[in-house]
Amino acid sequence: MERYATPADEPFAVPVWEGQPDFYRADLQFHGVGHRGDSYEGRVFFDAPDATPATPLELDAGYAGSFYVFGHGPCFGDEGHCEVPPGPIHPFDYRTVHHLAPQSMVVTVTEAVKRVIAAGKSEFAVTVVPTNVRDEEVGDILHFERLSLVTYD
Amino acid sequence: MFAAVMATPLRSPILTTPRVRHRKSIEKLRPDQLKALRDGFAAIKKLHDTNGFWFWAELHGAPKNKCEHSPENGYDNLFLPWHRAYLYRLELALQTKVPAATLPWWDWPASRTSGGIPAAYEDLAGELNPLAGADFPPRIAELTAAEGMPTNTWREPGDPSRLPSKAEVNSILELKNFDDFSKTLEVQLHNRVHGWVRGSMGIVAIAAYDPIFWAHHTMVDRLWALWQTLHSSRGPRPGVWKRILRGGLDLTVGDVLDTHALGYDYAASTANRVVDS
Repeated sequence: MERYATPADEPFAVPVWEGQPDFYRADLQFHGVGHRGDSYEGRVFFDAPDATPATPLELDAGYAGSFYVFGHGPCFGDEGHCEVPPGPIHPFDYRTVHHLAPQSMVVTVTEAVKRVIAAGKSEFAVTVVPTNVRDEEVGDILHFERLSLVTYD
Repeated sequence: MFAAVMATPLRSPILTTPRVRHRKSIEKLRPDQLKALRDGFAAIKKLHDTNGFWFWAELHGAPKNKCEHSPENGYDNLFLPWHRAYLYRLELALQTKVPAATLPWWDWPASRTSGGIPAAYEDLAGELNPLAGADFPPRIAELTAAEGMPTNTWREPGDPSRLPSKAEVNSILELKNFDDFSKTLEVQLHNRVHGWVRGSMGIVAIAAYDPIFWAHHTMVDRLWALWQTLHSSRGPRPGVWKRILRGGLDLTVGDVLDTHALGYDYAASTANRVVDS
């Protein structure tokens, strides 16, 4: 995908409810992250759908944090080399996990979530802008299967 | 026989074990130490056996793809043990050819204000610097050429201010849980610096062919060693200590938990006096 934005009808609810102790840490967990192609930084913003690589990396601008993907580049192998096969096919199948098996990424967003709560909001949207080291937005490189917000108290 | 043994002067037990060498910041190597490093890389680049640079570089990415990075499930992450064993094996290869050579670490925070890529890894005027880059082996060069890429390593570094700061490094060292520490170190600092150097360092498949890869990973390994000291913990849970680190490294996770057992430590500086007693 070009960039990720939480669907308008599926924002994240702020993780607070009556009687809950204050959380000390909040993580955004990205599951099933693909890492083909170039390396990039996934910049995460809250309630900033128009964020670009030029948006300041500051809480005031909605910046919550970044994750960094170490990309595999193009496929340096024979036909099928970069197709991820199904997992172990036998109890003694000790072969290495495929080099393009999906990964997970974690961004600790404690301060950004607390800021949303302090603003009196009940929900917030997440935008991820894939950016290279030249501060250019990178197209069609961001791939993941699930996004979770996890808090710890 | 017994009397002969008893007559042998007592010696410190440490002399019967391998000497502990200190890996230092690339910025703080003495000229003779930097020369040993350069001579070591120059020597192993000429080899095509198990001490050869290509032999080890091709293990990480193309064509063998044996490196360990954090798994999807988030636990039993072998990123740090695997790369510690990997560095150790390359350092042994260097020392086989140049005994005084040790792997230096790239002090990322220091490089924010000293120009980015450490000067020791830049091209030298009128002289070949074996740390400035490397050719790809022919079959990898064919593949990179087919993609319109160079047939040797290249770098396109970003603004030095984007390298990790001391505060960022320290905040990760404070993480108490090993899996949390390992994952955060990998994703937030290690991956970021690979992407910062860009070029072949930004591509898993060919990153290890760039000599600066080894200084980058030595910094990662140093941070694990510092974390172990700060938290009085080895790191990985004992259940994985017997796991073999793949790719012909011939070491288990348990083998690499203690840098002293591998014959090295990290130091900001060292001073020695030879005592003739």
